Amino acid sequence: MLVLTRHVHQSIVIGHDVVVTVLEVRGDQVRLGITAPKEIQVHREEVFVALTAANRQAATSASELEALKVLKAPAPADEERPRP
Amino acid sequence: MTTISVLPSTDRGHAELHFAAGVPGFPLAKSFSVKPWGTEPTPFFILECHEVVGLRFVAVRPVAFFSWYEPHFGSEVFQAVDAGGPEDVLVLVILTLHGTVEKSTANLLGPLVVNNATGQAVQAVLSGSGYSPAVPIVTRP
Repeated sequence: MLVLTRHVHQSIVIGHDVVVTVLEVRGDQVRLGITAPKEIQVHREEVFVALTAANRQAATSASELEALKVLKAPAPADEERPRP
Repeated sequence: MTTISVLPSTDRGHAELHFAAGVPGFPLAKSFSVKPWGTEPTPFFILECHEVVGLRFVAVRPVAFFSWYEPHFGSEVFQAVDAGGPEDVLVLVILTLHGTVEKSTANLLGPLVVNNATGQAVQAVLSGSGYSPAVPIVTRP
């Protein structure tokens, strides 16, 4: 792991266009400002891990569409049907 | 009325989504075709990836199951899809199907935000919202 020391309001550049700036240090918390191009999403790591797990599980389960067939059609369709 | 009409259509008769950043877990998955699933009108969509063969998501308009769901997005989310604000986007949530509908869940933490006009899309994160990535889609007594 690369380790760099920065002061408040100093930045590091990752690649050509990702800039991470130290905005504030308060106790054991650090506030960072990040600018990055659209193709690069920035996440808190624990959220990224949770989303990755959720997406992988969703992808492997997508073939189980049969599960949804028991659901009734949405309300508008029900209204159009003749009532018994 | 079909819900698909709010998505940009292509000459192949369905909509296309473009995730410039991919989606977490699938960095190469950038473009998806979107087709409605089930008897119209249906809240369900099948998202099929062009880059990753076999990658599919089942997504739903959240209002179909979660009328109380009110995602609030920061300006960076709208900027990511070149949209001006909430009126320009469609929100979908990804389902995880666990064999039965009772066990199936929706990811309300990471909704998909789609620019209605262009199909540009991003998986947003509602950090600090308390929404879970696995909320049951039906509750039975």
